[in-house]
Amino acid sequence: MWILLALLLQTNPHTSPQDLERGERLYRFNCARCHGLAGEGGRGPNLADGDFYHGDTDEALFGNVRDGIAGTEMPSSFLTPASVWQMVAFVRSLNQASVADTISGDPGRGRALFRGEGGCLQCHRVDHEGGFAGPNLSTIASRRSSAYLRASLLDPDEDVGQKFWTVRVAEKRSGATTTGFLRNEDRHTILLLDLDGALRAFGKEELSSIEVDRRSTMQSFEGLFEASEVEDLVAYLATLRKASAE
Amino acid sequence: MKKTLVLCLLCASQALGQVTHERLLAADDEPGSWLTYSGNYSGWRFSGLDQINRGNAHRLQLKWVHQTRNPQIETTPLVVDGVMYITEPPNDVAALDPETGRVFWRYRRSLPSGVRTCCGRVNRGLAMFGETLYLGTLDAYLVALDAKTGDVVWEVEVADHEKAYAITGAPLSVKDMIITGIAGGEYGLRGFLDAYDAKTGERRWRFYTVPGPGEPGNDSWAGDSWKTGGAPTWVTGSYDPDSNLILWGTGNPAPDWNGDARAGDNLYSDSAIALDADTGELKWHFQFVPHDVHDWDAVQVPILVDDDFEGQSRKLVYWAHRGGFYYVLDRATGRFLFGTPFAKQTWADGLTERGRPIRKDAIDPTEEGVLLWPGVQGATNWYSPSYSPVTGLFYLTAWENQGFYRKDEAEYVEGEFFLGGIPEMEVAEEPGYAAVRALDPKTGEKVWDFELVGKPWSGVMSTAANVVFAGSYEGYFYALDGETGEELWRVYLGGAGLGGLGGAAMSTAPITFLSNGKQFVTMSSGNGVFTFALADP
Repeated sequence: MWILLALLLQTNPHTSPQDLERGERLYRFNCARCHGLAGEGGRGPNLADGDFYHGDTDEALFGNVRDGIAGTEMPSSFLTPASVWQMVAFVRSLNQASVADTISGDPGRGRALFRGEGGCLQCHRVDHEGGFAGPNLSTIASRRSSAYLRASLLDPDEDVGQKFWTVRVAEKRSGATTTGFLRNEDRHTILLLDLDGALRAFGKEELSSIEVDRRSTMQSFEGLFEASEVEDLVAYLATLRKASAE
Repeated sequence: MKKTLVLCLLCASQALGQVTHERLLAADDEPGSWLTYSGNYSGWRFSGLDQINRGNAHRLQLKWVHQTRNPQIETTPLVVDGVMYITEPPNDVAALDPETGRVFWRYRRSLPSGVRTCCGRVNRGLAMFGETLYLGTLDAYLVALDAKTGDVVWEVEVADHEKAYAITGAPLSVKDMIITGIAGGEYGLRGFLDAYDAKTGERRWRFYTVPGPGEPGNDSWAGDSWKTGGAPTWVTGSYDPDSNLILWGTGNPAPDWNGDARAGDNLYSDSAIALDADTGELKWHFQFVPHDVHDWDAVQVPILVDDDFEGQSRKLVYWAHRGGFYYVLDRATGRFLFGTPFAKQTWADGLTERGRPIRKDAIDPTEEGVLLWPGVQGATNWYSPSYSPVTGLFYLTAWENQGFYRKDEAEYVEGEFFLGGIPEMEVAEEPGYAAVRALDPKTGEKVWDFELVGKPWSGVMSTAANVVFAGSYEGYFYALDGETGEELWRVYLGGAGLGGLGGAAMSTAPITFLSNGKQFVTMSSGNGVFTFALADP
């Protein structure tokens, strides 16, 4: 039965040392920007810890690299099947030992800071609690490395997703202004999630100005918190993971 | 007495349903129909109809919607003698009542599992000759269908789909022949253009867009690279009856982004080719980008115009190419007359006297990636341009954008992608913008722009009443003033494309026709074919 099942699953036909070498090169130019040079993660999830949330068979990895993953930031690729397999082979060769993603803080203290002094829930959600003016952090550690999270706390403007660019519009007739997050835009309309949590659509001809601010609305924690407290926050955030696929 | 009457009625219907070569030559004289992909042989996508004008276009309203099983509709409908014929993705055909949208018949093609398409299972339309419709298929067949019933009259295999040959473009009916191109430039096939006997399906000629050994131009390919040279012909061309020339654009050489193994100019990729319609013999060619390593196909519809140029009466070809330059060519000889950028480009310092691009340094793709304007999908692409003899303007959808060109190794495996690169189609945080753009075709200067947020992916049509119809990526359908670009009317049709490359809601170009004496306009978005007419005042 198990043998039959194994035969049915597509396994990687490109796993020679040459394939791995080529896979690494392809990975460096196509994947590393988000997933890190050693698979440690960054803007994208860690690929070295063995957790693959969208299927961990070779076949699933192949499909995810080729077609992307719907509902995530993972794009599809325009690659030959051989190249995709070689990248899968390289990703398989990564392991946590090669990744220096050390966490020195205390998650318990971090949780207390997060919910207390840090005021993080004003804007972020964890599970079913919190605000909407920042990314939902319920499973953030499955998508971002701790190094990335640390960098975001210290320099929030460094990488702000388009969904969190703030837009301020002023209406011609009333002069009323609305600030919110950009949800959609075309020649005629602009759609926002405003700071009160309402979805608002504006006709551009009714607006006297549209200002887009690509900076984060979060202030830096540098100097605001002790370095050790920042580490505690990182340690707490690193616990916010999806349940493993297994 | 009764018997005679019945017979005569039959005679009349027979005569009506015939699309003859003469009728196609005089397509401009019956603007109530839409007889061929671009409306006429000259590739204008222009209509002589003028009921919908700048004063009343705001009264356009929906007549009907026809929905298909799948996105993404790229069809240009034909409207002939009171019937509309469309293709539906992936490869079906339907005959509709143009007044109501109701279906007379549907042809469904079952496709084998081995079909490969780089960029979506799509089809751009039909050709018609006599009482027969002609469909190119994703498994690389040419199929003749009875226009009255949808029954198959004949079908012939154009090429082997297992080697990734496919047909996505609309065929072109010329004399008693059906001309079809081929898609698959991303798979390292050897491109060609074919002519088939409209009655029997017998192949009359084939012109390989990559010359074989001993043929002129073969020496523009190093070693055996010609065998996998690409240069497909996936967008419908034009026909010049005076010189009996078929003018067609060719696609990129393969592999797309790595030219190491194909040193040389790589003729006749990225070119305008002019073939004798009877023999398929090459009369001239003009290559827009010799040795292309950026995937800048010349798959635009050639626009043929007779006009004065620099004081001389001339037969011209107007061409806005994917690489960002606009060209005027002499139609008799293919000689380059004039060229200038129509969109931002950062890869050439201009064109030589012969029209060859003067390349800047360090523009070839590298492993790390090279950032250039235009982006990988070009300053324009396959979506139809339009020429209006009334305003004398050339209309197109342009894209001001940049992209990363990344090189990769390229190993040919039959039937698989042969790309030689992993491009980043666009820079997500700096997406640039699209525009419906009017050019003075004699100078290439921009006359007006109707700017859109984001990307383009649909073509344009102009009419005798100086109305330009166009669409946007997300699915707005517009009527614009052809002289100024002012918006006259719009409607949001929305929908979704296939995702991936292209992937627009609106991925086709408009047509117009008469139904019961009234002007209708048809545009597709998502999986809907939408038809509009003026509301009563």
